[in-house]
Amino acid sequence: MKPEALKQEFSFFPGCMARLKLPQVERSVRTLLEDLGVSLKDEPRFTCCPDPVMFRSASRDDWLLLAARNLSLDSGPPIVTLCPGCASSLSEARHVLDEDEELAASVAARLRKLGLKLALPHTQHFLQILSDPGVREDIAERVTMRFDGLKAGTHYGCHLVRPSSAVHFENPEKPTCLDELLSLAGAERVDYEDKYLCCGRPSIDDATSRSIVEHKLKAMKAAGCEVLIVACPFCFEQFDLGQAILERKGGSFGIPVLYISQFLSLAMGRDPQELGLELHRIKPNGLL
Amino acid sequence: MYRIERSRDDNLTRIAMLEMARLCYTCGICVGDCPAARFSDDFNPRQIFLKVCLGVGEGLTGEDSPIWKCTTCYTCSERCPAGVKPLDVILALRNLSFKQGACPEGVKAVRASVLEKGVVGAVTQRITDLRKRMNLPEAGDDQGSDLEQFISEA
Repeated sequence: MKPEALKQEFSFFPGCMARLKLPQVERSVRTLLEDLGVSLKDEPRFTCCPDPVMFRSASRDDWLLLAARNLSLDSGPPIVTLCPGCASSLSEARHVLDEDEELAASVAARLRKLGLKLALPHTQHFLQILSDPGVREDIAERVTMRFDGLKAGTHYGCHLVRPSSAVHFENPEKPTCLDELLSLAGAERVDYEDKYLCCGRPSIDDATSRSIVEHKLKAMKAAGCEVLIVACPFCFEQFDLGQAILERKGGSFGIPVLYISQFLSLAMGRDPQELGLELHRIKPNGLL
Repeated sequence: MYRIERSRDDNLTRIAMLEMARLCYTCGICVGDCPAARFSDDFNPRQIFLKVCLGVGEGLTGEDSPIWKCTTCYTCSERCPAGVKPLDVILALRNLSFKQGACPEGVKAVRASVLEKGVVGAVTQRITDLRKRMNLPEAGDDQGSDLEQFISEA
């Protein structure tokens, strides 16, 4: 029987990063959700969420307007994203508009000029769907390839759980969902130093960003991580491409990075090539 | 520590009021686990809020200000016991810098891309081919046609 959490249709919000830079991430998320029986609807008019870091750094007012436009395009099903940035940005805009009637009225008036009616559908990262006990049971039953004893580090991504006032998902400082999902396929959780520290990617200062990712990779290596599991396209790029750049400069880590949907789809018997694993900078061949 | 200006920067006063920075009692919890404070030399959120409250604008805005080092991780906003949302203060300072035309090129580029094409980045031939091979819907980059007008309407 289909778990209750999956009985509705979701509007799928792919986001710019996966759509234009990491299609393998989008492929694996769609494949996983489809395999679990989630119906996804595409909305071609979705634009950038917009980016809660760069775009919002220019203008918070414009960020709110474009987010409201995305939320109002399809006043139907709830939205599911594959990127914590998109989920956090849209949820925060929804929260702001929900709390401030006057602001919401002025945004609604602007949207009317586009022929849209302000709507505030619930927006979530797909990991929130996977937190449903029924869905977890279903995943466990479908596992055909186990990763028993594989030492898997996880990195959650800040925007997956914060700001908690708008996102409402897990413990905002110590989430557990990735570690729990890994254990469904037998992988072993690794508690490396500074596990919950940001990946550094959104800092607009390259030196700060690089020192953070280097620190984290060293901590993972010291703790014996054989793979790193992430749930954010920006974190993915920071650890995959960022690691390749550090290795070119003499660093040595050798920690392949998988999106949680790639890991779960592999465990559920999907072909590595169909999940685009060959596109990764740090090749995950040793895992397969 | 800072010389308090007789004539305060109105922009900072507005930020102090709107973003609740005035409630800050400089306890420093925002500095404790701040990644940007830990991994750089000159980013200190508490110092930034103090300057905002005192109306001391020097070094707070502009392309070379430490405000761009923030990773937007929200740890400070989760922990602040005074109910200040430190990240919102940083974003307000970044918005002010943008308005003054003094912000990093990357921010301007992302904004221009979103307003022009609706997305950050470009639909390259490589991406079109990869998406087709992976049986993904075509990636459009022409959703932005009405966005510039939409946000500029008074």
